[in-house]
Amino acid sequence: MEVLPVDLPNLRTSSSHSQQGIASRISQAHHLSVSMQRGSEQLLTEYVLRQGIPFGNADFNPHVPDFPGLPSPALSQEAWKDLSDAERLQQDVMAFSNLPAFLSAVKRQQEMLNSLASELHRQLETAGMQCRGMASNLKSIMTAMGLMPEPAVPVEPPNPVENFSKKLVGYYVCQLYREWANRSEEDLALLATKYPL
Amino acid sequence: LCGHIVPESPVVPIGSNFTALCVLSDSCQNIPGNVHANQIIWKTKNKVVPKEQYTIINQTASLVTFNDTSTLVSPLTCNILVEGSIEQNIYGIQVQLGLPPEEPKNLSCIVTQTEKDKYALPCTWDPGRNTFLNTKYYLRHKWVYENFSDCIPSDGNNSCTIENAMFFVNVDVWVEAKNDLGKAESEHIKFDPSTCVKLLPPRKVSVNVSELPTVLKLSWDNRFDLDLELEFNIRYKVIDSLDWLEVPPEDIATRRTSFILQDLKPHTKYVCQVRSKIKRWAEATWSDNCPARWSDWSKEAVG
Repeated sequence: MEVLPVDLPNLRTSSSHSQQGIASRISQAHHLSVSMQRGSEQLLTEYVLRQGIPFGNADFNPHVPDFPGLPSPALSQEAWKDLSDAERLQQDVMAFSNLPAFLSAVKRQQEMLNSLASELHRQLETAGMQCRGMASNLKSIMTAMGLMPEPAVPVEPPNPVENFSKKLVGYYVCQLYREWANRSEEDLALLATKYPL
Repeated sequence: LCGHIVPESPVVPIGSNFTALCVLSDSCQNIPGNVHANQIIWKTKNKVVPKEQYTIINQTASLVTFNDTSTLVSPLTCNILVEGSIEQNIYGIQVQLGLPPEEPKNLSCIVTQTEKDKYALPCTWDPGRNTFLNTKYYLRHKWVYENFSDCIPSDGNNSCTIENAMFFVNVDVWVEAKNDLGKAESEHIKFDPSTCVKLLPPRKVSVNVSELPTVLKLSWDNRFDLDLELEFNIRYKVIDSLDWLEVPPEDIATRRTSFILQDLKPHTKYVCQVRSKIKRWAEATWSDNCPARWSDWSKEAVG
């Protein structure tokens, strides 16, 4: 069996290159998550502002259900820490791959229910775009780490008939978007400690 | 119809050779008698093509060859000499001469802030030589896992603006040129739009006097509040003077909305301006491809 000489410095250089490559992608995605955190807060505020009563009421705090393809990201601290990097990234990829469909469904509904709320429509559009960007970034990170992103399963956002239900579903989606933006920021901040620049 | 020419409406590269075939049809009524292809006369814009360039294929088909398309002026017509001297036109075609597009070069993009939270991506390139043909240019861009619709220049062929540039996702941008003779693709540039922004200039710039006659306080508003570091340039001069003085960049290399100017001439009016830039935040290969630019200088503030 022929033993091939391994050029250690090069090996070390190339692996440090890939480490550096992973680190800069994580840093980039983390910047995006911070931007999305801010954007999701603004979106939720703008959304509530446009729906009227009871959405703006102090006691209006309905439980946010899971949707197929878009579960709540809530985890116990223990469970969150126990996630592997692959699981962490894959859960984020799934959410941000599916969120655009939910957000554009909300946008379509809001264009009918609140046709003059152009700023809300713009923010929903931007949020969908940023989710697609985040999904693209996360898949690039996984690929750089030698992980294989699972293909996104197409989802069918709910399409209630009654106007109040439409508004309520839209509220849930904006909430879930904010929660996943916060969750991805925490995930990426954790990964950034493992892959420092 | 007494005949036709093949090809119908060709596009021919300048400097190449070209052949056309005129085929007489049997059903032609208005040419009496038995017509033969050797009676065909080829013309380029009413100028007879020399016989040496003809090849008689058979009784009804004549071929004409141009080794150099520079003599090939439209229309190219196929004509028959009838009863000795009357010339009957059989068919004619327009020949378009041109060149395939060259590879567009020097693709350059600047992310330009148009409003507080809005960033466009205008790109320019060098389209290369004139092709003499209708050549379409497409500015294309994509993410690793997502394609976007093409940006088609509205006027001219060397610039286009992508409406929404999104930060923190690497975009791959290139130009494609296409005409009837071929297509060419520019080099791709890959960058994160957040690394190459030209910000709107700072606004509401004001200069306020302080207790000390040699000190002025300069303040302004930034129109960028994402979580990226900013750096500034500040210049000031005595009013009516031509000589600007600049604050050392290292003194203003962090995000701020004011600065104290010191060691000024007492009881003297000064003119001040500010400009800003996003500080380099990414240490990655893709962050070199599209460096940040300084904003324009703010309006002048006097104090």
